Amino acid sequence: MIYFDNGATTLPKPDGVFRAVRHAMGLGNPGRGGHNLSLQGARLLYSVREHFCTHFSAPSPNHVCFFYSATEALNRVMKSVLYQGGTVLISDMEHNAVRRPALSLARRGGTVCYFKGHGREEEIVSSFGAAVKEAHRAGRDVKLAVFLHTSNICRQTLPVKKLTDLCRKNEILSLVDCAQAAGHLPLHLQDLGADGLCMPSHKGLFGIAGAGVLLCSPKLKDTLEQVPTLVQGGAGSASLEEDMPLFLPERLEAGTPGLPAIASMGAGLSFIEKRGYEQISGQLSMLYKHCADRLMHIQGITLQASELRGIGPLLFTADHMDNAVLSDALSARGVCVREGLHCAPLAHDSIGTGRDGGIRVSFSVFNTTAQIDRFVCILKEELCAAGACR
Amino acid sequence: MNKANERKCIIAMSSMTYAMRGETLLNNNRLYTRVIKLPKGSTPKGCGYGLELSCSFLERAVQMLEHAGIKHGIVLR
Repeated sequence: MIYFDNGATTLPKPDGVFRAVRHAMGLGNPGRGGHNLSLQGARLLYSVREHFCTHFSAPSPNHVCFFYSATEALNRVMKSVLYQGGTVLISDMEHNAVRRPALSLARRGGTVCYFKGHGREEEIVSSFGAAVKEAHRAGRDVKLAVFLHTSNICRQTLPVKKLTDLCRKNEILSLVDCAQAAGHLPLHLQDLGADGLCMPSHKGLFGIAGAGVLLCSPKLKDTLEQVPTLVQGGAGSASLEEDMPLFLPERLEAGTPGLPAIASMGAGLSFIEKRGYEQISGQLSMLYKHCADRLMHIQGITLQASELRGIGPLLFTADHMDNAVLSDALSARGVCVREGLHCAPLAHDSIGTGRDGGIRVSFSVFNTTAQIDRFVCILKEELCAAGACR
Repeated sequence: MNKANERKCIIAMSSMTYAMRGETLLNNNRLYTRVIKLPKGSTPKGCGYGLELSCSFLERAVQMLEHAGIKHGIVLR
């Protein structure tokens, strides 16, 4: 099996992740009792919170909130900040995790504005500035800008610091979707100047599915503590109160936390720290280049958005064959890649792969150049077998 | 006075995260404490958590928590 769908979920998981999940499954419900197993659960939950706080430079563990996915984290922030309406600014490269909640807000009286999220850094920054100006000229109250750090369909990284600088200058809160960047390169909330970073457990952080994180700035924390909560439920304390607790993270964490998934993220983070970002990002870049260099010489294949720079997956399309049929043929030969729109139709429209999308190849540190060489060989054979290697 | 006979005080905490932060801070500073579920009726808001520690540490502990911005509630002596 050759697994190149790490953009969807990383596989395999490090051994420490399995151990962490097993350990967490033996503990009680965190913060839901005074007995030993519940307190051990609470300690484990807190230790992961503290770990994330240190690793991503959040102001304190109270600025680290756990959700059931990054999508939930993004939704919660967007819908909380814009609960009374207003404008949200998003890039044209966003995943549906950002596009759909933005459009849902627009259906309820809010407004969505877009800026160009692909191409050269100057183009992106200039497009962002122009979108803010245009919104202000139209009398719109831009409350929040949400944009990805790294694309989930191609090699595009946004100039996050420059965009957050513009946000601060214009008194706009900034929220960065780090789903494809977390675990691949160092991210520091304070250095990036962002108000929020969201990331899932199961991708670059090597955890299991079922958890996501929001790291927030003091300003976003204050905002989220002042607006009504979108989800209410048990929080383990202040049970007689009608509303959720006043303070983050408990204010946002209604219901039993997914301790095994959260613990797995913590173990994934330890794995990343042991490897080091230099090695991880170096290996991912090397794998990308090795693969791109070979794919560009295959007849019947077009590399998409290959001029873009940064980190991110590799995208290609078959010139004379349906991408889904080709992907199926690859799967039958033991190669896992992901075809289609990757839940990012907006991004595919923006880079010109429109309604059909493409085939995405996304690596992890467990992949090798030998796997790429084998994949390239299988790809050529399948294209020729279908008469599509012209 | 041996440890078993030492009088214990409880600092009610605003949330489990603050309780954990407080426990970590105080233990790192050798003001030995542990998180406990608050005794019934000790807070008007219903169940909650607190830090149990020797009353002789109490004043220093409260100062330390406040200095670190760790929110706490009433002190139960």
